[in-house]
Amino acid sequence: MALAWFICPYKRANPGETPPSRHCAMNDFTATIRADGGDWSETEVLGDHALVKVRASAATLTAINAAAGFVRVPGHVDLNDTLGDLTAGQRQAILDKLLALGYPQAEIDAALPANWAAVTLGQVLRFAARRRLKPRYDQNTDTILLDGDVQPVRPVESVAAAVQ
Amino acid sequence: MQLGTRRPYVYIGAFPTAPLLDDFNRADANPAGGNWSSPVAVSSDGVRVVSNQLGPTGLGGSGYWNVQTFGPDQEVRAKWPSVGLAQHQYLRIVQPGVGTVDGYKIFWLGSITAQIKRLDDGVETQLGADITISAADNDLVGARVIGTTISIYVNGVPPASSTRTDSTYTGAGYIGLGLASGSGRWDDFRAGTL
Repeated sequence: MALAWFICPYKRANPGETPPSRHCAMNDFTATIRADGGDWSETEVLGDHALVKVRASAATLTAINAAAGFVRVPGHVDLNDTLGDLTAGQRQAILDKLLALGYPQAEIDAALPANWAAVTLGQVLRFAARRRLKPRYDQNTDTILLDGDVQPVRPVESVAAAVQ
Repeated sequence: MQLGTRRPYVYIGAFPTAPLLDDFNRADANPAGGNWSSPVAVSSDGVRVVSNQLGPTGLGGSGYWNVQTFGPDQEVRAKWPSVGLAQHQYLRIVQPGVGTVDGYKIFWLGSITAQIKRLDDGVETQLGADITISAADNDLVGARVIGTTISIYVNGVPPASSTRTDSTYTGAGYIGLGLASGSGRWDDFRAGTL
């Protein structure tokens, strides 16, 4: 068994139906993860995404990482780990995802230094979990929009403790 | 030595502790009326009393106990006569019946699966993974929310990996029941503040 952190999207569970429902896309792998004897837990963050910690077989984690929109934090699970050993490409993939979530570049730059030698996994995940917005439903377009008031975010430490 | 200000430990008994509020043993009523208001979800039909059970007024429906709000810490339990029919329970419901309904929903999909969801202006967001359960007809199913922890129970026993953490809605709210099909029924409704 192995552990990994992912940033992954939410999915509409019932297009065209009401009440509108969404779930973390990691749920698509629940059966496989459970078959491994594993589990997963998440915190919803900005941009209709979640930070997810998964315990599963190495093969399952590899398969999850191949899913569209999923980004795996390579090589590190402990929030106190520093990320100086990530390649430039690995680091940029995470930074690109933070931008895609909706965090402005200036906010990212202010929180995370360019040199990640001293940056911890916890710092990156806590930044990603700075906020999320309240969902609402647009009946005209049958779309769930994430543009409401700022909502509380479950701490990454809670997610980390839930999956060991 | 200065005394601290720790909150006293409050023991909450084994699930359920809530009293029986409605066994529905009375004449049919459509809508249920009385202590039941409908709907919880704005897109839903209501609830009625039929054959000494709670049923929907349409191809599904939802309603809430209107006598009082409960909680913040609260629980619900009811008898699920037919596990082949998906049904719901609601906790910490605020602004029921309008597009801005918030709170938590337990979705009992069937005999082997349940989901815990958060309602945000009527949008459902599943919290965590599908929960594997083992339920049979007439089982007693329910849920508790204590602080930021939501737990489900089947016959008083929590299934594996069946708690979720969410801090969005922490105040008092209504408790309700819902049905996803015209043949769905609930019985022996218990609800209360913990």
